[in-house]
Amino acid sequence: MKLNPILLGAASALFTVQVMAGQAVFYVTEEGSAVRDLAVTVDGKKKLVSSSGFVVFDIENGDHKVELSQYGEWLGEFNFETENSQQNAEVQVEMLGGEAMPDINVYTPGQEQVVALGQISGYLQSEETGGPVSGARVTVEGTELAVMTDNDGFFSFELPRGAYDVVVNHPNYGKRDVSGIRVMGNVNTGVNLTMSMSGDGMIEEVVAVGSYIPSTATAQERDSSAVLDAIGAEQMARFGDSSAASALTRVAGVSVVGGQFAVVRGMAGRYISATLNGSPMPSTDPMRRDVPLDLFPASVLGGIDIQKTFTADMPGDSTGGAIRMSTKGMPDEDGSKATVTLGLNTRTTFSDVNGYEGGEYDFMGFDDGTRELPSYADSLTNGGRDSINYCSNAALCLTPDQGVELSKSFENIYNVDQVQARPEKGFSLSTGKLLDSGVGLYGAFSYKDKWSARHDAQVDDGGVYGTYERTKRNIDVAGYFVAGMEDENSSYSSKTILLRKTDDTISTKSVYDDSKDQQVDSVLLQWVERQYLGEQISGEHIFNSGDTEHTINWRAGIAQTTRYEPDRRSYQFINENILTGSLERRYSELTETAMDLGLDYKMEMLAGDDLYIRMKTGFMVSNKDREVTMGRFGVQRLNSDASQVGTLEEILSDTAFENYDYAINTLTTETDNYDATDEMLAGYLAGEVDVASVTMIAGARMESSTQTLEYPDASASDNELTSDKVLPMAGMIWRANDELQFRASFSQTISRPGLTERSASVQYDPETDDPLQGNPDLEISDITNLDLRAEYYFSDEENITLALFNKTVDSPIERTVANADGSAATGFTFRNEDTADLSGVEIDFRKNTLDTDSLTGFISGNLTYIDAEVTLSPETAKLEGRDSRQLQGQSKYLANLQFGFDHLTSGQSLTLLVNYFDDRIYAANRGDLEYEVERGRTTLDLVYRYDVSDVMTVKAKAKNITDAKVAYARADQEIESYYNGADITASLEYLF
Amino acid sequence: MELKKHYLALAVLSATLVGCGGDSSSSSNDSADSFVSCENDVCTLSGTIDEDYTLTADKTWVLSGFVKVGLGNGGVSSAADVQALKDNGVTLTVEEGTHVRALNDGVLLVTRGSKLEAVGTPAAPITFSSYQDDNLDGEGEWGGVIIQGFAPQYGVGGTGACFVGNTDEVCNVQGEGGTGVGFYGGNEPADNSGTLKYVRIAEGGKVAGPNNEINGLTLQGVGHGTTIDYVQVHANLDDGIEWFGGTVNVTHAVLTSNDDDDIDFDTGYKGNIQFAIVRKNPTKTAPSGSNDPRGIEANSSDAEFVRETEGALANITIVGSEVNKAENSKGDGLQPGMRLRGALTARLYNSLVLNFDDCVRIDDADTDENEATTGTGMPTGIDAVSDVTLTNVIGSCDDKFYAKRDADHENGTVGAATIDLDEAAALTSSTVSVTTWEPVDNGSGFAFQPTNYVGAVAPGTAEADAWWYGWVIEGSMDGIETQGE
Repeated sequence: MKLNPILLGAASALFTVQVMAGQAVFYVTEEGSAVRDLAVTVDGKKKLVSSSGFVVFDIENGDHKVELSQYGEWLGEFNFETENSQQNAEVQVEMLGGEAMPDINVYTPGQEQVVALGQISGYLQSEETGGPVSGARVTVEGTELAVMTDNDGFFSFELPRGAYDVVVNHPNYGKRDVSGIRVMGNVNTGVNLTMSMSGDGMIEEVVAVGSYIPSTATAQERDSSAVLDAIGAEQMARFGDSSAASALTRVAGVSVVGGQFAVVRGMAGRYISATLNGSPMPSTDPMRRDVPLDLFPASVLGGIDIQKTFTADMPGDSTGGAIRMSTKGMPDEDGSKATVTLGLNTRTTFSDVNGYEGGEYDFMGFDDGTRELPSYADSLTNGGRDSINYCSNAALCLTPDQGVELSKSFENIYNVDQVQARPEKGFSLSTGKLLDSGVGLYGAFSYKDKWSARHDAQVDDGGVYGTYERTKRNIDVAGYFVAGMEDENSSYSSKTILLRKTDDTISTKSVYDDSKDQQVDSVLLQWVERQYLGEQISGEHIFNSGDTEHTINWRAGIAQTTRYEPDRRSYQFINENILTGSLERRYSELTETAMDLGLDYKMEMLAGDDLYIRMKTGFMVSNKDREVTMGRFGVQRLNSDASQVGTLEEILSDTAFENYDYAINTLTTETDNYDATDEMLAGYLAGEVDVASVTMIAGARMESSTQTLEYPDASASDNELTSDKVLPMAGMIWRANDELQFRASFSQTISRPGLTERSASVQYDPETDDPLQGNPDLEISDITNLDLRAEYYFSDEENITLALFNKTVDSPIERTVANADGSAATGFTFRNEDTADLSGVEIDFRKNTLDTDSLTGFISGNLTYIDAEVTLSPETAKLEGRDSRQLQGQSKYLANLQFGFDHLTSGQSLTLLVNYFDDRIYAANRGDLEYEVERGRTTLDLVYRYDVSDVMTVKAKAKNITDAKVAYARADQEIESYYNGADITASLEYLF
Repeated sequence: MELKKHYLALAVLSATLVGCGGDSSSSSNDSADSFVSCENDVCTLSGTIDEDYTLTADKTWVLSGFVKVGLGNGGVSSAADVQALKDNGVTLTVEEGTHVRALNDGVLLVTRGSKLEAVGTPAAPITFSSYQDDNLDGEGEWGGVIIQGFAPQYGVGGTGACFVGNTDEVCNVQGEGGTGVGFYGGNEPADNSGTLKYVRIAEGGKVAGPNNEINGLTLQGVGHGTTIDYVQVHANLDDGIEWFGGTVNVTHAVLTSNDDDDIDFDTGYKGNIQFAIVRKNPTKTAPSGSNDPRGIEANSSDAEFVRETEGALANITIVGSEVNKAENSKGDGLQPGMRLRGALTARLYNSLVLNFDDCVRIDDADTDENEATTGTGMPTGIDAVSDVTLTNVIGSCDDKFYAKRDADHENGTVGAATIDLDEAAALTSSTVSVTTWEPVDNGSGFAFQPTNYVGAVAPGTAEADAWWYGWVIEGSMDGIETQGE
């Protein structure tokens, strides 16, 4: 590149001002690479070479004696001389066969006849794809120099000698600051960075000097103090993942259950913490303590990372892992993007699926009031909570007229018809604008309408066999707005997120029950609107004092999550007669308000010659307040001659109510309505020390929490759980050499019971209506974690990692069979089992298969084996008829394979993805009956991307290509199975 | 946060105080009692009856919602907890001739440690029915009566006694009947939940919540210290009497027009039943909802088997109607007079079945619901077998006497026979002999009253002299002499 002489002068002047006294800058290379674990002694003063490969000394005039040593071993020595205190020295030392070969250049700044020029050049690699990051803007602070990385991810500057800060910006990868890069005369300083969407600046970059830099691959993982896996927006795009849930299946040791809930290293929801931009995430599922990952579309998500080892700055329940999601940050340049998507499912689209009469605005994901609880019923029954009784005593009962009016106030909509499933369609719009003075704005809106259905669904479970059809229509709407501001030392952002996800489920089931000799036809109509509305402001401040860098991060968030489920209708016909007692119309609403405050402080310093110290401390306060209201309505058959046959709409006609054949009543139970709070105060202190090739980490977290559960209609079932826990963590990293490093860590974590799991009363599972018997004696589980990991980097982009881990859970909570009788025995309860022991091995690799000028290819993958055995408590052992078994939801084997091809010249890429999970238990069983497993299966996805021009991209993906059967089994007998069909979508992206 | 803790402590404290109320104030029928409110002669009961209390015949008593007697349905974790429940137990006394009427959501739940003393007379029986209307024939107009005790229960799936697996041998078995039912069970076969004598329970069985119906009389872990003699359950939407575990013996039961089963014992019930009349609804042609009405339904099938269930029944008269013959869409649904299944032990003496499709159906258990595994010497797929002994059991059924397999042991006259009942519900003639009466040894020392006839009533008894005459619901036995003959 050509240098503008004026700019050069400016840069040079800056340098001159900065350096007042004499300095000697050393960098040491071996075979062209920086040598880092090396000590340089100048005039008796010893310093370690920093991670960037440089070491700097202040020098007086005169003779200077230099000694080099590594791990106490003498490597060489030499002398140089400076004539006055203004003179500086640049010393490049090349280690050749263990001998130090110095190249010494002494000069006086500002008095050089020709300013010595050097070069900074580098390469940006994507952590997610392993490929180059093109289009990143690289600027040199204090100058107006700026370049974009080319198609191969390369950039270079020619600069006067000196120290510079370089800033890298990319729309997807965010911003990286690399400070203190040295430019020496006639030397090229290589700055090779691995960029990741998900790191959010918390992970240190690798900067090395020389033409060959062996340490760039998966630098984020490598340099993190904890075992970390990351997925960024680019990877999600490459793999065609449309939501966080599907993206997570690509990470080693991670599987996703039901498309919604993550299992990390075999540990399901209760062992995983989830945060959004650092704030605890509220859940929208009243019975679960984990977070449905599909709530967040990729269009809003910036990145996800999964930290698999606990560190003190993570929530204490991060046993299996901490899932940290971050939304997109402020934009780096002006621009807008529009995307349209069209898709079809090979089995579902254009075929006949279940439908029913809904509302006018269903397509927007809003009920228009059709499903709302009629106001007459609401006021008469206090939202369904008051019983309805019929008798002649007006003080205690409704009058017959009131009963008729109440019954008729409900919409008479029950019947299921067949409709044609429409193709998937969606669009998104986003725009970003940079204003003067470092202010940036970004907004996005997206909409998706997708139909899915289970096909050829069959059940054959213990003499109950037949078929069912389940149709689901998802309407997703997301709105997002970010405003950010940056100056030299600080950045501020405000993020506003609105996510809506509406599911309309219509299920019909027709089975024959051999033991009762009955034909049972069941119908379910379920409309659920889930909404997340959150506002978060955050800031970051960085300042330096001497060799110490201080970083302060703070955030304050408020969010409201709602789950609105109006008029869930379910009913059964037995032998073509309505089973009156089975009819239920349910109206429920969950509202959870969450507030949180967090402050983190980080200090990094060089504390002496051999010592690099990093310290982190912080606290967080969070409060979640949940209110659940529910009303259940049923129907009573008043007249034993009333018709029980025909469609339900015929049976429950206005005339039937007027004739007192039937009447609506209430079925709400006393534990359906509840309030719950979850308060937490946490603080932590963690330190990290680098000594030579070893990094040691230690920290502790204190968590004080209170969970309360209050039932307005059954106060005897109220429950409170408080805890104060101190959770220690310690770890060590040993960099054996540039290619190989080892890690070991130990930590303690906890797992708290879910809010409703400690209820003293029965609740009903909102999905299955199985009775769930809470257990007021549930205790918090304590977990001890041990991790070992070896990482081998055999080229820039290629590596293999082997991890071993063991987790011992004391008093693990399992969902198991209840000590119950009669119809109550169909339900489940939660119990502290004795112990659970998880041991596992993970192998993760990436290898390039093709590397020509126009074509690159890679294969990457991971394989996890986990032996997770839970030793059951005496009561569970008795009821389940075994002393131990596999942990629930845990596959023994999990595997992913990815094959990628990029045709660089035409801008096309193709990725083939294979995902496999092994059998996993999804329900415990009683007595001689084996537990039920979801059968393992393999899915195959293909993603194609074509950058037609600078402003237009075409993407196509085919998911679930082999359309593997989804099957559940017990003792090798298939009890349920269905097919989802393959999804094929195409989208067009246009930048303007 | 602190403030909330204090509120909670206060709530717990006040709940405890309420719970102890029975100790300090034994003065009955204090007008300030929170569980009762009276207007004129109509008194409404709701919530928990936490002190000794008497329902008098001069008032109409209305059950509103789940009315609990005592607080014994909470969980226990030690012998001390059990003792505390007993110490805090209360007694609900119902005077002879009292009419208790329930609102649609009404249920009476007598919890463990507490007692129901409902002793009527043939002339002034006690009646439980609905408040919805004045007749006694509606089905599912209210819940029913549930009694819970400290007697053992044995888990479905062959999972053993509820008290095994903890040091103090306590049980917390969640019972069926809805959210409010709570826990029952223990290791005290001789537990006493009170007395039911000359009691009629009519038109109950209302759905109590998702997937739940309530039996007329539900006996959950009730011990043999309890007396149940001369009871009628009439026109219940669900079962007549259902035993979940327990040891309580029952004599002189009249079970009429119930829409599901009449005598239903499960989950390790160990007891004896003598003199029972079962009569299906003579006018109904098909059962409601999911009901599959049989006279006797004992234990559960296959994976829900309970090996410990053992019943001895004598002098049972079972008279079917069209309601138990209704066919379903598959042409099935014809119910047997009795279904004995799931690896139970049952002995029947001097009993008869009339007017069903088949008379007796005996099933063994495929306990793992896997055809591929078979117990030694058992039929394909079967892992545990029932042990049924019939002594002088006769039947007159449309199809077969045995629906599936024969009884394991037969004594005396067993099989199809011509049956002719009179107005007293007695056979017009019958003389049999029983060599050995073998009652279930549940610790009660129960001995069958030796009879030399088949059926619930001795042949030759005049209607007015029959043990059921006079106190049962009017009309409920009319026409039994011609039903199904």
